[in-house]
Amino acid sequence: MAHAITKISNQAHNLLTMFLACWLITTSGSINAYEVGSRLLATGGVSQIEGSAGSGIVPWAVLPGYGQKDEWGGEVFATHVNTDDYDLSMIGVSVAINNRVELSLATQILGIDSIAQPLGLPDNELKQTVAGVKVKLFGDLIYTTLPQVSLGIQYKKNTDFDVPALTGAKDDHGVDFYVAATKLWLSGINGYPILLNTTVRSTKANQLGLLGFGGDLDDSRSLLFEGSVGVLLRRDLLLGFDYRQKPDNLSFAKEDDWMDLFLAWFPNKHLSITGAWTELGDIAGQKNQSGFYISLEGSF
Amino acid sequence: MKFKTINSITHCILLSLVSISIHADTLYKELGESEGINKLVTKAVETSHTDQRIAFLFEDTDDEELIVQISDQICFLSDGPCEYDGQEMDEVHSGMEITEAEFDIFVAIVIDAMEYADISHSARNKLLALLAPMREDIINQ
Repeated sequence: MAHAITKISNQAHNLLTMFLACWLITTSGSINAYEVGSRLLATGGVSQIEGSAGSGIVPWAVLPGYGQKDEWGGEVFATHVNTDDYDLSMIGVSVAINNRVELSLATQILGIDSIAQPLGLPDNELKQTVAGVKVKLFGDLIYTTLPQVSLGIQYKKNTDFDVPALTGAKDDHGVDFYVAATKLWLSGINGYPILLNTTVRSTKANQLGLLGFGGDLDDSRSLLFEGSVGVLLRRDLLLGFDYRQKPDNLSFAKEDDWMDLFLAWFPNKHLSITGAWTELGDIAGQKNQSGFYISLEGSF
Repeated sequence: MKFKTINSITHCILLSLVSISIHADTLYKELGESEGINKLVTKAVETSHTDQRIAFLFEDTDDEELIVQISDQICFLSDGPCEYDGQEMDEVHSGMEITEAEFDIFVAIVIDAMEYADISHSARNKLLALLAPMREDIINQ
């Protein structure tokens, strides 16, 4: 019965993703550009894997979408990552208000068939919900000498704790705090704008939280660094690299830092498509996980 | 793809971008000199009149005069043979209470105008980088 429900929720997840893709592609060309906010193309970043604005795996100080001061905007997004032994899906929504506050909600599903059967696990997927808030503290991505700096909170909750409990995780929920500083230099390298982001995060989440929070090896908060560097090759094309440190709280399996090389395309202010090659290291005992990442985001 | 490969690719891209600058003209030349600048500014002012969100800011402007003033500024900033003898930015925009959103809309119009004037991605951003510091004297005046 649980398996059937899992299958249905998986299919619902996929269906929602496909619907989102179709909706974005068919509407992005026809919606009047004036309906979206006033900020410049690509300045909202894309949606990172926990639902906040940033790059593939790192939250940035920017607010999502294009809403400038006194404007607001919303985003819907879907992401899929396929590594050698796992697949990770994420769908979510976010809202940016007054270019000051971001609210986001995302669900993640990690398919763990590769270890579920061999280890006799009760579930063949791990699922969690992430609710995020981000507040811009000061600065502007482009117009101030100082970077744009924001404070973010991500509340994360496992849907089921059965599998994380088996791995040695202590809690089924946790809160990440982070501070991000992001800056885009327009003149960059010979007129190619350069973007730099530094994020510092306090967390107890194992593999984003999908394997629970805290562990038998370490149950304290870790202070971790995340960074992104990017170059705007064209006004609608951002090439970049992310690095994200991870904690190592569970004795049963090592957790590695993550990195990716991404290309984000912004054909218009309603749609962005991001592709990336990810290097995710060891995940729950399966070694050297790497693979493609694809993400779609619609702004309105 | 391992970290070393990603590292090499990144270095390759950055070095290519830097090497292009060794053979570059002045920004004034890259913008197409007075002809190119005039083309971009004229287009930007024309488009501003037709954009419902900011057209009201240009209702009472003397377009010809505005085009000359902005062109002189850009010519001067890009190391061209000009001087800007107009008013300071905060004086020019005093009382207009231009918002951050209206400013961004105008910047997007300028970027489109630069594309229209066949100005390269790199020259566009160099000019924007020179114009960006003016924002604080233009908005909320």
